[in-house]
Amino acid sequence: MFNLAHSLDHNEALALAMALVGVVIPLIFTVWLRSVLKRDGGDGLTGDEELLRMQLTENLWARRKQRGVEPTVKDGRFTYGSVIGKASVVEEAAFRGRVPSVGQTPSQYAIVPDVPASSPDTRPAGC
Amino acid sequence: MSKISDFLDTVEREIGGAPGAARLRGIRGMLDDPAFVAGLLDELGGIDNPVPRNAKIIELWRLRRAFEDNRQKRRSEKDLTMQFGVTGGVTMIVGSIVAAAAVAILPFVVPIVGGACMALQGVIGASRLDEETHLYGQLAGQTAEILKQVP
Repeated sequence: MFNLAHSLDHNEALALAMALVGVVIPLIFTVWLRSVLKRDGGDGLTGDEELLRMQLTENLWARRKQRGVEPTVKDGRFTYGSVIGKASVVEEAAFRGRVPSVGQTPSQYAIVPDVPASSPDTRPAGC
Repeated sequence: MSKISDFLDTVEREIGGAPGAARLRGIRGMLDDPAFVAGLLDELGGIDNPVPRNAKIIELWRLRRAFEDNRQKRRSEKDLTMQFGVTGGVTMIVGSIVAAAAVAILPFVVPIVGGACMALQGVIGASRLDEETHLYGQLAGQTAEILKQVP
């Protein structure tokens, strides 16, 4: 290393130092960032989890039907009309993310389950 | 053990590793689902024995803490990525341009390119980490909401 430094003139030493700085620092950063961004696990939900979600949705709809809250089809999706007034406290809280905005009529803020109507497996029997 | 418990166990196990944003979005979709919340609360309400019931509630608390810890971890990593990548990269570029103007252009081309790469990688990495921070925040918030509803 000492001999190398002596054999280079000023400009060559500068070029070498700059090349090292310009390559080594970004390289270290790249390796570090890769380790930070390394991810494992799948994407979205697994098949079993999707199935569980459908089953739970079916259960929820069935329970509502038992209480006499019939779903209706509106704009191609299943809704529960003004179910907010009839839902239990727990369910209301669960649907808290879907509170009506100012100026909406009850039919407009009807609770719409996350599962679209085109998904036949999630419909409660008889709907 | 129910399927809901299995799901929560899987989530807790995966959160201990490093799931990606797509997986986190899937978990968020499940936890946000009113059907899942209702099912979980029904299950908790149906357990008469206080010991397993408390164990389930503690599991939910643990999950919430894990989400919060991961959110903080991602936030720190994002800050580091911004400082090292973007700030460091831009500093390298500016410093090299100034040095190139004062001394010679050619030796300073490499640090300029390297600095640009660092800055670009830093921006991309920080945006990914920012998204994950946001998702973990939402997951922690939703778990807290569920815990509030536990009868």
